[in-house]
Amino acid sequence: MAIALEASGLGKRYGSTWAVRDLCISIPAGRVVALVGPNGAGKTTFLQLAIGLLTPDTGDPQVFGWSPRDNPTLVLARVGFLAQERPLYMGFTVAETLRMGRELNPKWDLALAEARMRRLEIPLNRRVGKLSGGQQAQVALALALGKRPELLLLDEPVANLDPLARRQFLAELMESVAAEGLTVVLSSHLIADLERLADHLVILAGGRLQVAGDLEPLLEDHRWLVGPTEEIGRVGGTVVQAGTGERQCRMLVRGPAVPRGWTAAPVTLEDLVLAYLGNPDVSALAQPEAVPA
Amino acid sequence: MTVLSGATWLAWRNNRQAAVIGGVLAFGVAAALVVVAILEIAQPTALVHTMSTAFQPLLIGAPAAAGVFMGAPLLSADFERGTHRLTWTQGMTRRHWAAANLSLLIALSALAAAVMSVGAQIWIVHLPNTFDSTWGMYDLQAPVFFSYVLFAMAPGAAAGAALRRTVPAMAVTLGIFIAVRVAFAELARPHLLPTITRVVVSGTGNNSVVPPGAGYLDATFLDTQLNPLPPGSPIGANTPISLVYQPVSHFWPMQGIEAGIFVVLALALLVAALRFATRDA
Repeated sequence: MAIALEASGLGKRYGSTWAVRDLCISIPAGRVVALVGPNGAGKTTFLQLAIGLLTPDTGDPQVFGWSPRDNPTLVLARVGFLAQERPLYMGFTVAETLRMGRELNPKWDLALAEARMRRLEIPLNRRVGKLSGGQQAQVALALALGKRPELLLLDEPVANLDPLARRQFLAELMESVAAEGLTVVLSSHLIADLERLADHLVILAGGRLQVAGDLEPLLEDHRWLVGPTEEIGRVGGTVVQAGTGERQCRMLVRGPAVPRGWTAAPVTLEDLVLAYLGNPDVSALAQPEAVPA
Repeated sequence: MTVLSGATWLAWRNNRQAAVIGGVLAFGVAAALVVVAILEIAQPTALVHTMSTAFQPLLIGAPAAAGVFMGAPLLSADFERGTHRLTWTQGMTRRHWAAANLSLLIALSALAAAVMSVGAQIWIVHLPNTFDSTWGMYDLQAPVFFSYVLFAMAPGAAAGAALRRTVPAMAVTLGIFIAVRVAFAELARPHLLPTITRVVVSGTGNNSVVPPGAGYLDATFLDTQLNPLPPGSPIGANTPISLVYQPVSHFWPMQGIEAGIFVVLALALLVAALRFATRDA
């Protein structure tokens, strides 16, 4: 399977603090990756290392096999990037913003970008600063998609948008993903949004990788277990989160067996993310795919 | 400006307002200088002379203003707005982005400098004899004036790229420009070419014995053995004077040397700006 983005031993330090530390990650092409973690977990640093905005202190990320530092133009031509807070030139018109994409990128699909603006009823002659937050986000997305990237990196793209604008943005995004089959890495705190989009989950905690894997096997692998507290010793697998009462306890565990007398219930993405965020020392890194002998 | 393309288009689009304002000011100053020059020929009244006098500090300050308002924001503005993360993640390298901006700055400042230099030169050659239009106007002659404009832009661009904040970069630009200009004029300029020392005797003061058109630097009263007189010694009509000066023949060569030095300094700072501008943000 083709790998869109991989790194091993990736690290980035600010002074004596490691923003990203010893990160080993491999993101298969074609996935939509939900990148989650608390503030300061290293999500933004990771995305900026991947596009080459930051130089790593250890390791070197590979984007479709290319290093962003050694071959910046090869990586930039394949990767669309939407930075946190969606920076745009507020004094430019929408048309000028799209022209900027055309002037600065070796391949650029102006017709696609303009058609997108028309469909969203965003006037080309309007200044970006006069657009609503949702429209600005759409312009920023059109700019990132205009170069027809193979990998799209989005750093909290829907933060500070109202619910309707957020839904429209994600709908546009999903349409492009479906049409182009591109790989997406999307960081967000809005887990409900991610649940609809993502098929791969990456959780960062304290600059390290905590969880990585395809979502479906991860959800199948985890379950809620409810049973008597005195039998807690019979629960196998990895306990991610445990709520222990006097007689009954409820645990989110990763592992195959359900002990007799215990009830099991499936977990949602939100359960999974919250459990891991609340317990940063527990990790789930092994890819569930079988390795041929 | 549809003729521009690529990163140069973006650099122009981001700086066109400053460029247009700067261009209008440069042309305005040049046109005003030509008008004053015409008045100095046609109607050389006291008012016209006052206007000529007022132009001197204006022209001395013009390069600094260009560096502060055009050079300093050139590369710092993107960092302040966070838009470097937009431009750096399109299809071109940071180096390409910085080089396009710096090239535009060089082109625009050379144009503005040329326009103002021509205006200033027309004005200088038509000044009446009451103005010392050679050494007295040394800083405003076309060769050095042109080089000062380029030189003012370069610390602006370098400070903007290094500090990544516009207002501190403006302050640093002004500081560097004034310090280098003053230090050079005071310490280096008198020695750009070897001076001439001549001993004369005169009872009517120093100025009358300086050769016509010379740039007079220093005079020392001497005793009869031609040693310097201690301060407070009586001075008579036949007291010898040691004169140190630059002859008029050195004027344009010195202009050329000084202009060359400032252009080289500007280029060195522009290379530094390119390095500063491409560092991680």
